[in-house]
Amino acid sequence: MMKSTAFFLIILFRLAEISAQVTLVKGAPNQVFDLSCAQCSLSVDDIAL
Amino acid sequence: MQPQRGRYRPLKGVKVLPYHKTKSGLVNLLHWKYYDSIMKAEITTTQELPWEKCTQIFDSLDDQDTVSLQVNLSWTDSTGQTHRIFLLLGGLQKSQLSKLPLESVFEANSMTAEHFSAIAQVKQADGKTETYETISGEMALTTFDPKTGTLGGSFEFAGNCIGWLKRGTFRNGVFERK
Repeated sequence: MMKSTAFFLIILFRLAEISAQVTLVKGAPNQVFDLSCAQCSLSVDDIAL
Repeated sequence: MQPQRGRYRPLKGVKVLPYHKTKSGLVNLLHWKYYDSIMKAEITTTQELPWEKCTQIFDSLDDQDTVSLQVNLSWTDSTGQTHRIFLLLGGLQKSQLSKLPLESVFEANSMTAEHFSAIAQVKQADGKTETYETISGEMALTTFDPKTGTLGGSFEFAGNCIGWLKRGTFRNGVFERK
């Protein structure tokens, strides 16, 4: 009984380690935004000091 | 090099990104104030009222006072989609705003008060908004008139997308308000 409890505890710890390594932040390709492209426009909405 | 004590005074006005013109609650030093004889109180307005003796809050600052300039922009891309970009030129002395052009860079570990930072909110085709925060970049302010609110300048920056392992590079930003 003691051995099986210890075995399950070890399994539990290993599962916790594995789940902790899961990447929570997703990746995506980097993007470049050309703000002065031919059909683009940039306007000032508001300024503050 | 010894730090220069007393060089910078406490920052005044708007100093956080992004600046919301309707929700901010912060004092915009470009606004105007006048004494209203009916309400018996000092009233703040966004524009100078010709029929009142208004003074701009900006005028009450000393030349050595430290301020930050916030510029809210709308960028419309080639598909007609509009995105928001917020620029901040922080830690400036008032006197610097009359000595243009003024250049500022983003420095993550800088100990100086003067700095540039930016936030971009980009709408994707699926309707979701991605927010990018500056990790590097620079901005130049070439024209600025606090009385009329006219200004012009340019900027470029790279930013990390919040919640994603993704980087956005924003190039050739040129703005002008006449």
